[in-house]
Amino acid sequence: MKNKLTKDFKLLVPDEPKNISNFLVLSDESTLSKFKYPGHNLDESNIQLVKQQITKDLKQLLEKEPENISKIFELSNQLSKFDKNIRFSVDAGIINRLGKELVGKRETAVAELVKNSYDADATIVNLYFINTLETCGILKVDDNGIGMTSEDLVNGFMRLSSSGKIHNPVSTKYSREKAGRKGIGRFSAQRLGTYLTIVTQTEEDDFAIKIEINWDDFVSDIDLSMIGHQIEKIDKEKKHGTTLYIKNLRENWTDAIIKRVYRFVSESDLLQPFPLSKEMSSDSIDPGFKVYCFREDDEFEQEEVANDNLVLFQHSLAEIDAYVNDDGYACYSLTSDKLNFKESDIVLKEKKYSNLENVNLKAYYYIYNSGYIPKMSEKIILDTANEFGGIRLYRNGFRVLPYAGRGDDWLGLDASTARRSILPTHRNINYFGFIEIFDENGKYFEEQSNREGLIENNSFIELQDFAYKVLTSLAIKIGHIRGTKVKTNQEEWENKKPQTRLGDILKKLEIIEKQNNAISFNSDNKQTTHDNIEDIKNEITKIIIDQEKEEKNLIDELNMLRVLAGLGLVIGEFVHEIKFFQSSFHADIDSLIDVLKDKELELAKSLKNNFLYLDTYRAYFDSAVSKNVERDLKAIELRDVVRVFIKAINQDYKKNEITLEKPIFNGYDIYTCEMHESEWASILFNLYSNSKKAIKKIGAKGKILISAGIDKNIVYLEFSDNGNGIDMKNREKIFNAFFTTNEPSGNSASEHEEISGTGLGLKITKDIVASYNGKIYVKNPVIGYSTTIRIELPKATEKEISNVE
Amino acid sequence: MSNNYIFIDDQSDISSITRRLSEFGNVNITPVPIKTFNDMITYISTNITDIDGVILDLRLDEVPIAGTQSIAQYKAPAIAQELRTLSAESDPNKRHLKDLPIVLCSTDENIKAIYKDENASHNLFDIRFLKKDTDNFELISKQLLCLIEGYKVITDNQDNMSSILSIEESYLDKNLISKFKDQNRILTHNIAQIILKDLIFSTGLLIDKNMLIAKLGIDLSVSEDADALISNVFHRAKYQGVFSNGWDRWWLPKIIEIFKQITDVSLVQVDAKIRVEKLVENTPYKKLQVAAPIENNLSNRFWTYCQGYKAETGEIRPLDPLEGFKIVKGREHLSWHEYEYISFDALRNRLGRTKGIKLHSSEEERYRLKKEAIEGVENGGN
Repeated sequence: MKNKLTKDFKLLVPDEPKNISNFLVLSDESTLSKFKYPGHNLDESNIQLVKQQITKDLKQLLEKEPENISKIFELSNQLSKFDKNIRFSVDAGIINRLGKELVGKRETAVAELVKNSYDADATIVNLYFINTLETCGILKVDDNGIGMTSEDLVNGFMRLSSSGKIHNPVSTKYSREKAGRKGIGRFSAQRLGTYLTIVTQTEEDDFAIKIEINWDDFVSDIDLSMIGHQIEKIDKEKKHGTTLYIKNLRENWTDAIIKRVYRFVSESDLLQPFPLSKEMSSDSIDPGFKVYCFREDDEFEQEEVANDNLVLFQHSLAEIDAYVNDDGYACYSLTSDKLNFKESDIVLKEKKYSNLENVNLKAYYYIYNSGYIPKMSEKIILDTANEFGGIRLYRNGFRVLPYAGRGDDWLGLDASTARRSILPTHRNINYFGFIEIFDENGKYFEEQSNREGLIENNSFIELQDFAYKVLTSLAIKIGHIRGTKVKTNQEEWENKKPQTRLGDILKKLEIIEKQNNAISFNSDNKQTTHDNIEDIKNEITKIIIDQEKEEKNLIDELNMLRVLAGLGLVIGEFVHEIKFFQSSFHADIDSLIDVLKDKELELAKSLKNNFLYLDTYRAYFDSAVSKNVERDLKAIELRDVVRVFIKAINQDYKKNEITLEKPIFNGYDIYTCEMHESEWASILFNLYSNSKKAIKKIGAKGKILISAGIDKNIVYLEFSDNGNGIDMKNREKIFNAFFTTNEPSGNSASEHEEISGTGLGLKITKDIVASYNGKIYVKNPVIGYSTTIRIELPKATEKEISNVE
Repeated sequence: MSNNYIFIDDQSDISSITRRLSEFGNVNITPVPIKTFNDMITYISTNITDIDGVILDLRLDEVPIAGTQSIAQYKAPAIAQELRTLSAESDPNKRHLKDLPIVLCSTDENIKAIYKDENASHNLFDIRFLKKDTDNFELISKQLLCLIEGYKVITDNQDNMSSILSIEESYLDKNLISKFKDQNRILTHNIAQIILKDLIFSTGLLIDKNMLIAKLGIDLSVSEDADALISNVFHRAKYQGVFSNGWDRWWLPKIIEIFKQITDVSLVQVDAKIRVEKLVENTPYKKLQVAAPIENNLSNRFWTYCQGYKAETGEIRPLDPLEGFKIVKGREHLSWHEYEYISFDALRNRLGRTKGIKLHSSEEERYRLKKEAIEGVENGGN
């Protein structure tokens, strides 16, 4: 650049001294100051010469081409530089610099354009992302706002730092408080793409105007005002509104980014509610503002990517509309698609609101972590709810703050949930909603002088009560429907752990602390602190009562466990004691075998066999009991426990004519997480008893296969038998307490049968497995077997293994 | 000769056990009810002429002494220690008891583990057996008898090691000889302990039948002539010294000697295939087959067998010690002893693991490396 200019300059001065115009272009302030070309410095006489020439040119131009405004402007601009009064001038490069500096993220840029539409009193803005999966696509921002006249364009859009917003802080039609940051819109367009076309029309004009801006024209070293743009008059595209075409987009726009834009736009507080009371809508009432995002690709398919319904409201569990009817009663309609529930025009007659009129409420209700919201959306919705949840208040179309602002609990929903006087959750984050009041003459409501809310008069108190009643009715109703449907969730709710509840209390205390530290400690804060302390007192009292109840339950359970443990010890003792007799039995029987003959000898041999059978059992349990005394948990290699188990039941399966196949071990070092070794005695024995029963039912020769192995981070054990199998419908139930597929024990059933038939075995097995975060389930049986129960447990860590190696 | 044992137990009814053990005509066992410690020592010393051996139940403190509410305040090792001390008493003015076999009997398998840890008790008892091992009572009674006989032989030949062991000194390890000779005063029970623990129960100079089979490299399960081969060809190597009636053992140096004589090759220098071939060639016993190496092993220069398989399945699977891994031994390792080994395969499959077989810590690294190598082939080599 510098070289080129230098060359031009050199050529110009000696060869074309008359070409003042070009000469001047090259020697304007910036260039003149930059180029101190030796021997060619312009002296005072040259400057005068130039000045005269420009004046002359200008005169000629005005005579011959009075329409060539650009040229006239250019010459006068040049001429002005010879004026004694100096002026600021602006380099065209500023546009690019400002664009980059003022608008950072592309989402912000789009949001700013949307805000401009809002400020133009649009009710709908459609964002079309056309071929934007790659860069160089087109973004079309199409609104139905009031549009711009050419004057608006010139003095507004085309004028940097225009005073429009200062002069008109609220919009003309709906008196919206203007949202757009001052003059950022154009830079946003520049930030997004290199080429901008604006088509705009107002209701009054019968034409539209169009202007095209190529941002690439705004290069440095050109005076900003030198870059001219044509304004065209074209046919109207619609009644009123503005359409921006941003072409040659600098970035690509995927669905995810578009959704982010949508979130960004909605979080910026623009998505105001539509009017609720139909009879009240008139031209001056803000009908609300909606944004839709579409994607269009070459095939010209239009696809809606995001709007408020898609993103937020489709996941609501229920929707409520309420108002105060002419009799002064709260009246609501409730719909829940997810719970398939609908009721209309329910009147709450318990309270009459004599100080309320023209009050409408609409709210969407959400319950988190209960499977009603897809996990992917839940986080987003919860985040949004934390920021924007709650019930907003709009008075005569204006949002009234601080209600439903962050941390505001103007309806006492959070406090009430914490008090748990109503069980189903009804915190602010469970709702997105708003209340609309029309009270243009200020008959009922009065704003506080500091504009920080409404004065707490009777109307306001009634309003709070109305909203609270309606919203809690919603929560109760939904809780009831859910309760009958999913009982466990209800139980879960009621069984909220004390540590969680104490955690909530702690949070409250922190709030109180914060408020205490806050600079302004006004009466509101005092009230909140008081309420919070009341809540905490109530909650603690409840926790104490609940804990007493809980303790009683625990004691009952403990007593039961004590009985069982006592029994276990007695059995352990028994198993231990009888071994003293065993040797004697065997010694005696052996003596008999030596002296007896024929039939008696056979009897003695059978006696010996039966005692052997008793022995193996006894030895297994004796070892299990004595190992149980060891409190330490250790990693268990499944080979070890399986082999010991098979040896222990050796006599038993032979007697029952069951073939126990050689166990299959897939992989080595099949170590479970640290467990009690004796727990494996319980697990394997229960599975074996279960299989034995199933095998008995088919009346054929039974076979059992145990296999074990490692699968990534788990170790597994599979216990298969060829018994009568487990019904698909019972697959889950068999692990429940007291579930049994056995025939009900008849009158003649022995006590043993009754005990073994209770179906506690698999329940205990499941409890053991679950306590180590393992899984037990019925899987598709391995080939050649009819039932396979699979246990999965976490694999031992290297350290746990090295502890036992 | 009556061969009387007394059986001391706190459990009152052990008559079935003592009667059964006595039934085979080897020993005569009398149950002795539990008494206080002093009473017990007095009882034994008073009746010492009629007592040839003592059997003690390990736990003597579980059931109250008859006619009292109190249990005995001691366990078997205490009595054993006192008896050993009294037998060592050289002061003629003090009480002295003759040296006699002391045997430990226990009810509980777990006791094995407890006893094992208590090294001091090792040298108090000659042997131990489980009360419930009734199937082996005949053999046990034979061993009990042979202990009594052995003690007498040792007492009578205190200085003549060669005749106690019934072998020329030239076959013995110098360190073993030193153990007998280089001590100022060696008692009968000390010699008995050396013979039992350092020779009979430890592989080295003496080997048992399983080890003999393994060293010959024979697959016992398919070699019908193996027993005949051992009793007819290698009978000259059989141990004939004290306690030999209770335990079948062979002198390893003599086995090697005999093998050389009949085959003209060195047992140590040829692999198992040649060993068996030579035996078939040079003896009338043709139904002999060489054992195959254990899975993942290659060598058939067998010199031991896998302790893992033995413990888990009872199989004797010959093993080249160079391919095997040392395991922790229950007894002290002396210069004439051989280590015990487990094969890689058994180790990886944890055979014998629950039976107390444990890899020697010096082998851990080698095992890890081999495991990685093998698994590398298994996983990557397909």
